[in-house]
Amino acid sequence: MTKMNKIAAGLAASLLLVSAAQAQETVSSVATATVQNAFTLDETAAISFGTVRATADPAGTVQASIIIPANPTIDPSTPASGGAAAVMQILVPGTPGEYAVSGVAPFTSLTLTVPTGDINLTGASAPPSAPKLIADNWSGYILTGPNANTAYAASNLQTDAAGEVTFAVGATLNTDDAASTTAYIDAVYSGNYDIVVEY
Amino acid sequence: MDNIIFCYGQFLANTIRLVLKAGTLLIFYQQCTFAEIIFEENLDFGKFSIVNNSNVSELTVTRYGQSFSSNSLRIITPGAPALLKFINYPAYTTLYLNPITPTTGRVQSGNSAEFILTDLDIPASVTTDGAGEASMLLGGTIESSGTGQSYLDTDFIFSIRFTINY
Repeated sequence: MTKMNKIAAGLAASLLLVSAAQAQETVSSVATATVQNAFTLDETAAISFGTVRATADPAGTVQASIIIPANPTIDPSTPASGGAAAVMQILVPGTPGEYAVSGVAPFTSLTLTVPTGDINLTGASAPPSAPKLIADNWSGYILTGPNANTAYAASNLQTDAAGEVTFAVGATLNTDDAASTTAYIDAVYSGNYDIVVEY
Repeated sequence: MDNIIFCYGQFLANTIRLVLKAGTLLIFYQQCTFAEIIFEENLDFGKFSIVNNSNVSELTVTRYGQSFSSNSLRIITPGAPALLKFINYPAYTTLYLNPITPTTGRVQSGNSAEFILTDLDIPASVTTDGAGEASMLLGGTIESSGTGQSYLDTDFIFSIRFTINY
């Protein structure tokens, strides 16, 4: 084979090599994922025990009560106090607290925790010896979502397709169970309570 | 004299050979240099909650756009697949694709549990059209660490890598 033939053969081999070349590339880009464990819990309305006439048993033995049901379709009531020493009468009915949850994954079960102990309500201008009001027996009632219109029980607070749910909170307001030497004053009695919603 | 003629011929042959090799390389270079992949949409795993990382949870966004999760991972906003376009490839050529996984997701700042990108949902191959172009959707799967460490509420960034052979 002459040199020119060899060159031609080399050229042909090179061209074949080109046509059969295995090209490999590596591609890089990015993907994103967003974690959102936090969600929104809004207080639409705080629980209100309304306006009441209240008298505490000076000895703190007998308590009078007003029940604010968590179910907003049930009116507040005053169960029998068991004695005339303590009195609680409704002048303006109270209303349950209402809360809205949003920003949760759809159809997710949440846990609602209401106060388990006594929440004391005191008057800002009341003297130290004045009796206090006590809120207890807190409960929840689901207003919207897959389990709407049912009392809250473990794990039935479930979000809807939009990841939202609303619920109400009720409680019982009682006269003081401690001895006191003065009467309730005409004033606003208030106290702080925590409502906790979590996964 | 014969030696001079032979040396001259040898020089000429070597020169031609070099020119031909350079030409071959140039053809190859032109084939590869302008091929390009454009991510018209990046892969988005969406927004989700994961409040219990004691077990491994998975989140998948398929290349067809479906999102599903397992265990403690709850989807808040579904994700979307990536849309890729291959351009300037040889016409009517099959491009063979191989994902490079796993890769670890990273956060901009803070101490958080990690996610692992365990799989890419891509076809085994795509074929270019007469213009040397092809399009492809790309999905993927991430999984939580399952270590019990909690996750920050933040964005996680994953590198998407795969090889193309043709």
